[in-house]
Amino acid sequence: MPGRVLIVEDEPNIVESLTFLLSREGFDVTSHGNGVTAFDALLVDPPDVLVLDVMLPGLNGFDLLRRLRGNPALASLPVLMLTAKGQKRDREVAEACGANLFMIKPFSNADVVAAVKRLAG
Amino acid sequence: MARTITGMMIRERRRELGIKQVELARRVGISASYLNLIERNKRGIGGALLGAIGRELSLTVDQLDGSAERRLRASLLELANDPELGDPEMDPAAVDEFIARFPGWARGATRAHQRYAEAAADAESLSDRLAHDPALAEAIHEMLTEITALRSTAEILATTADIDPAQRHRFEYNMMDQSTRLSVTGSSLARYFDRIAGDRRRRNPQGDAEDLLDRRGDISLSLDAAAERLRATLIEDGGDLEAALRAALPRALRPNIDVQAARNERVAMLTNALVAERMPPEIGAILDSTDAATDSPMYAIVRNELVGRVADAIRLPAAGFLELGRRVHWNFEDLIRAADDDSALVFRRTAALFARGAPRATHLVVDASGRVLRRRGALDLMPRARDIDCPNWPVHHVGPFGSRLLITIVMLSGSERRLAIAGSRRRGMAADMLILDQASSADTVYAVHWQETPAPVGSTCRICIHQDCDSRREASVITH
Repeated sequence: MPGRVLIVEDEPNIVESLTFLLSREGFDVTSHGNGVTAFDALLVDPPDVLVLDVMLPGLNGFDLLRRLRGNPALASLPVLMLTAKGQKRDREVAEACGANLFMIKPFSNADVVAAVKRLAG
Repeated sequence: MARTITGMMIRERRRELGIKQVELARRVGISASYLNLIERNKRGIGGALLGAIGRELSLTVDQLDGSAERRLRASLLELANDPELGDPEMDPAAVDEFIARFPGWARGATRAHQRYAEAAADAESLSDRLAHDPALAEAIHEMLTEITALRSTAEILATTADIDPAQRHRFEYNMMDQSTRLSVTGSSLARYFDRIAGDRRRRNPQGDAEDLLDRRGDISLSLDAAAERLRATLIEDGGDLEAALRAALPRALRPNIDVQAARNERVAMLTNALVAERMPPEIGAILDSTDAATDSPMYAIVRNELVGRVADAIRLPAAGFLELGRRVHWNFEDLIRAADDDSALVFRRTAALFARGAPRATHLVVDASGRVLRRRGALDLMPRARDIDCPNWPVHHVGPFGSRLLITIVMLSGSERRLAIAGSRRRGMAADMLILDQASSADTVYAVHWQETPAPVGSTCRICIHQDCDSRREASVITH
């Protein structure tokens, strides 16, 4: 089951923790801290699962997801969205943009790993 | 318009002060012929040169370049175009005539309009702030992200046995880094909420006046210039100031002085009365540049404070005070002795002159009940009056009528430290305290005190972090 995961998150310590956890589960993990460069990378080499933060420099997570869903090659890419807001409206926006799963910070490591496994499976 | 006003004002003011064109040109480092061209409106002027001429003539740049009038005109046009307050019969072409004929009414109208606009904006922003403020949303997002990183890293360290030592070290470092950033974000959120509270406190005229004077750190130069001019009309160097003041003040204007008053108290009362009677134009210019209504309590407080500052500067001229301060490394015992034992005067002058070489300090006046009556100087060193409630501050220990200064290093709730120098007055129940930080006291005789164990101070015991404090009066709601 394990495959390739791209983490798009601008907090390096979260990236390091998630990379450590998912790598131990057998995933091949890469990361980007900027929405624009992440989208360019997705076009060139799409992963099996995308872990996407909402608040990002360059291009926010919602806009990146909208672009992604508008591209036939990436429209069905499984996406786990991370947000710190946790408001009902953010969840609605994430779902409207096409997020498969939605997780509110602060989350537990076990929940994130389980969510990524679910999307990869 | 600006050039015409500027040249004309420079010439008028220079003549009024009896300064020759050649002399003014020499003082500001230009040729007399160039200054002549400026005064005849043949050359424009701005920037540093305008500032330098303004300083020599004790005029603000706003007064010199006509920008005060232009701002007034723009404000009135804004009022005329306000959909809520404007009136079709307000003729924009008549605005210059209105300003020229009724300048006081014009300023009053713009201040009323400005207050109205601020009140409307306050009401709107307060109702929206918590729900829609992007700065608040961003700060909370940042904090939750930092907590997530901290939690995730801590979980890994607590639940994973077989971590490579180098990786473990990196996670430990990340936790330290993240917790530092989290405390910065937490502090900035606390400051943010403090600002909201500060906004609400604006209706306090004393606090408004102090904040306004704090923002105008540049006024000491013009107030000192006014004081020098007044002092020069009174006495020569070494003359008796008290006798000169009595001779200069008409008998009807002399204050009723207690027969037991000390010499420094008599001189203080006479000097204040003289400045209030002469009312130097610099005070009027500063008052005009504020948005306070002339009949407001804040206006009266600022005016009295400015009169007091000029009076202080007459009694303790800046140049001599700064020179002595440097020579004795700001030993306040020495400075107070040289100022007729008037500790309050020395503390006030120090706070007023921090932009000109005195140590950067906050000056607080506290009454016998412990209430802060006045704050002056660099208010950021101790911005909240309620922080002085703690009985551990030395100002609460000096007692009345003492002559000794109490010098203490204190530790604030946020673990920052300050140097506090407190002294009581010869008469009256008020006491004074100067608060400095380590940088501002580095060149003073008090620098050695920073090696001492600090005394903990807080705001009120209920929210004070110093759990083992001997002065605690009630339990803290904060637990470790």
